[in-house]
Amino acid sequence: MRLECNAQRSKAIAAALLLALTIRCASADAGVSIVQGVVGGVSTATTQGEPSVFSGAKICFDLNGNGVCDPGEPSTTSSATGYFKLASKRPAPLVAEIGTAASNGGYPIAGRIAFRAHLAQVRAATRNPLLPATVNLTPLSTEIAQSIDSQGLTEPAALAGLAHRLGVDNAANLLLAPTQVIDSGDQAAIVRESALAQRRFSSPVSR
Amino acid sequence: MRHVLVAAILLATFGGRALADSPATFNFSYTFGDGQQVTGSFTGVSTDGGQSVTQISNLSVTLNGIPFAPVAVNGATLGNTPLQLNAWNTTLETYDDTTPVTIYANGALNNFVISDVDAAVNSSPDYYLTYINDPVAGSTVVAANFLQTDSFSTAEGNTNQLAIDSPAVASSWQLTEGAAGTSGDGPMPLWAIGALGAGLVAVARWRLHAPRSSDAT
Repeated sequence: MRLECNAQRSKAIAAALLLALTIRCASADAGVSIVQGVVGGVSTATTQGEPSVFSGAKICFDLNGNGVCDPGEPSTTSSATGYFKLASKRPAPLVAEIGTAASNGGYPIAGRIAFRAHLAQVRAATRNPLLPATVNLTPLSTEIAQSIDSQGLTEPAALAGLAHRLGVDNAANLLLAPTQVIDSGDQAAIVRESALAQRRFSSPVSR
Repeated sequence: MRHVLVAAILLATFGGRALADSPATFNFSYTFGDGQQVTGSFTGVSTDGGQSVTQISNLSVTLNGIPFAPVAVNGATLGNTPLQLNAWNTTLETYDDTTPVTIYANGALNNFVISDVDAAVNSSPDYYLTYINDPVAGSTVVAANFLQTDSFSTAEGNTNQLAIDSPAVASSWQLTEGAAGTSGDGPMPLWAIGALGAGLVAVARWRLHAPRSSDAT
């Protein structure tokens, strides 16, 4: 009787584990990914920096996670307003490659800038795989991605940490392009940090 | 004879309504802000002059003129047929396959997805059109076909067809009942129902008043 009970318990545990594994597998990277957003940063035309958008930037789903847009990866180009929309059969990190063919607030770009968003950021913005997730690619989205990667933080923890460090009241403003931030205090802090970060993510040689 | 007369009157009075509730073909379209256009048709039943349609089947969709249909690639067929319809559940905030779908002429009321999969359990369609109006998620129309490109996607450098309006523009949505007689499954036109009823009444009256053959002999 006891042996039978143990066998039943083992079966129940195995079934529960299988179910949990199935649910986990189903939720992890299941489904397509539709994103839209703006490639934004600061204009370097003025010394203090102004909120700006990047047109002509190449945005891709970085399917192999190597940090660059490779041939065969779903990609698109940002419009004059910095807007982009992109679809992939599976979710992946996003990369914006801003080369000399792009422009920053209407001004030419001397070198190469790369912004990105971590897969965790794409997931956090996704309500349903069939509905567009809004993911803006900015110097601060790249900082958050770096925090997730280097410090092993979750997306909310990385967001909260950056908001705390910058003294930004509404952490959600960090997910916007600087041109989209309405609160003047938050925008000033975001533009200041974006100018510094954008410089860090720039390199003089374009790909 | 009186029975025939009553039947004719009943048919003329109520038959029209019963037949008008039979399936009809409906055509729809949505024009996105960037000029892309999704069009399509389905068979369904409307009891309010086409303002809302239920019991929907025989779905077809095109995005910029390219149909949502399977494509053969390297000997393998991608995409499924027929197209399926799921509701967007505004309470659960997900697609479900238990709620009957109603498609409305007023775009602001729509909550559905048409795709090549059961979107309640499969989030990997090859092509889909969704129109949702959600109190939390907002209103959105998305049409995507992962198997096709066109001039819009090429111009954007996109590797597949993709159109997004978020928020959706309800006035960009059109739903119209197909022209009468275009579908063999469509309802009988009201004028035909009326003529049929009047004809039956006339026959009944003629039978009532005509001299019987037995009377002549």
